[in-house]
Amino acid sequence: MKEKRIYVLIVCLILIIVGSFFIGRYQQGFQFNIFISNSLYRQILIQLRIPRVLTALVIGSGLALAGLVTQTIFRNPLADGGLLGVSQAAGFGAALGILIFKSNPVWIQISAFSFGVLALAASLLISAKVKGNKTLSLILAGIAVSAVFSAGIGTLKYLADPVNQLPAIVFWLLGSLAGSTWSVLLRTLGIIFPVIVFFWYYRWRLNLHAMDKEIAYSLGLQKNYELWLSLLASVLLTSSIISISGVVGWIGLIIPNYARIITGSDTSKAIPVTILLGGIFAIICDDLARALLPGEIPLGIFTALLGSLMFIGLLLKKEKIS
Amino acid sequence: MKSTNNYIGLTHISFSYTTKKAKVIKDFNFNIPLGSSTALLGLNGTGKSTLLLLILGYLTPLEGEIQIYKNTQIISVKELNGSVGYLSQSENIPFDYTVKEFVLLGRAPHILKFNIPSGKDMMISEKIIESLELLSLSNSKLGDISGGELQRVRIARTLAQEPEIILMDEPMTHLDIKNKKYLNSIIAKLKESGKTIVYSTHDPLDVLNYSDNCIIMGKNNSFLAGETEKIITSEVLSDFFEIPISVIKDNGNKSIVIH
Repeated sequence: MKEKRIYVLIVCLILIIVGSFFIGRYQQGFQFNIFISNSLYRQILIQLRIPRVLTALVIGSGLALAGLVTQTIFRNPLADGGLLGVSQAAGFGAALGILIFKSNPVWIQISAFSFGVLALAASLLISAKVKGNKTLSLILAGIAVSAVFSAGIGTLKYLADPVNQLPAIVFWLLGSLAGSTWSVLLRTLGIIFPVIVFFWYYRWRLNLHAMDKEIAYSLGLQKNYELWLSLLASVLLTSSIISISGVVGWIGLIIPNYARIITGSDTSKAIPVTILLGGIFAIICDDLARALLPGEIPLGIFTALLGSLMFIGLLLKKEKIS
Repeated sequence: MKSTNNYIGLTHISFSYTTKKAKVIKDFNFNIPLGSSTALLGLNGTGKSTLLLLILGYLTPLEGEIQIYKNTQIISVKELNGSVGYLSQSENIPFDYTVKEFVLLGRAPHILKFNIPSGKDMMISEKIIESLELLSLSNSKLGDISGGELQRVRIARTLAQEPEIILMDEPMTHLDIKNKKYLNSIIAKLKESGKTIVYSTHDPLDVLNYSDNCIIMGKNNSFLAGETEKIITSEVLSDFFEIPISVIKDNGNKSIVIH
């Protein structure tokens, strides 16, 4: 019975992926002869829509997976990639990149990614100096680091040239996949794919991180290195995704919670469903972002809108959030 | 059985949580025989839980060593990681697992890091669920079962681990008489199968009834350890609890009377 659900989700995902290739402002029903004869249509499909839909799939799956891993490691169903200041720092990195490197996307991404990792390192170092509850001190350190970088973002916005740079920064902070190309997708997959494979094989053992530390130790989880490895992998995932899509919120928070409602809390069952649901959610949001109005709407607006509505639904359902 | 040659050797153990604070355990020595049950008796704050975590290998002693002596082999407890079972006093479980999923987690030391449980693992954990009379709760969420049932589920997970040494921190404390009796029968069975059990308690009756050896942990890092028969006497208990207590042994029935 439960296995059937995953096949239903896989079929849904494939239908949504294929369907999304034909959604857009340039309307043309799919006919093979048009595809052959109309080179503009061919270009739009192959160079724009397909890489964009696939990028949406990758970032949705990745952010949702990173959310699930973060929630499990921090033993808190409301934890998220933004928790350790990673999102804010990556946003700062990108804004800085836009100011310094003008609009060279590769450098903007590298800058966003580096600051994301830097924020993690800072949060970890600060929390290591704090005595007492490790999880709590890490969350508090994350809040502080996050605040530092949002102050930084504010400063950069203030300094930015209001005609060219400021709109670029704002657009980036709201998240968008408008710049998706095959080369960006493939480059990012180089980081994202190995991390997804890692967590796929680690999907059952990840459960141990949700246990009390002493119990986890007794069950053979060596004190720290598996924890740091998982944490690092999930931050790699988050910051490499943010570096191409901008700050896209709510996916990492909301999708794992819905996945757990479907499968239960065992991460070996929740991870596949989280990956599928994340992909479906992001593709639908991006379809809306690019096709609803003649102009592009930032993706982050739709993930926040739909995500928060789903979150309210979750609260009202009175299902325990776990 | 050369049980006297097989033991967990604790030699000159000292431990404190922070360097500034007083030592929780100071120059502690005892050899816990393998294949027996040992009780830790003591008031709150005398270091019972700390001692269990030291034996688990989760904490490292400041001074001294904890090693397993078995058939002329000497193994450090840290190397035994995964084969020492640990049942904490209470447990914070942030996600709502089912009984089946939760017990299966006990199989972790037998499963490769990048693998999922095999059919054999599922069979073993199912058998343990059955033997602890939890089968009807198999698919229940942990949030929906009673405290006594949860305790049994946690014991089931520890047993699914198939550990050689089982450490239990006050396992009897929150149990009613029936569940206590049940736990007693589990401990007896485990001992029969050659496992080593160390548990802490603050009830001398639990020591008298279930343990072969006992360690009494007193104030100011003092301790008294040996065979339960010899250690648990009216004089020792009266002295320890600072109230007159009599230990009554009558036709194999043991009882404790507080005057």
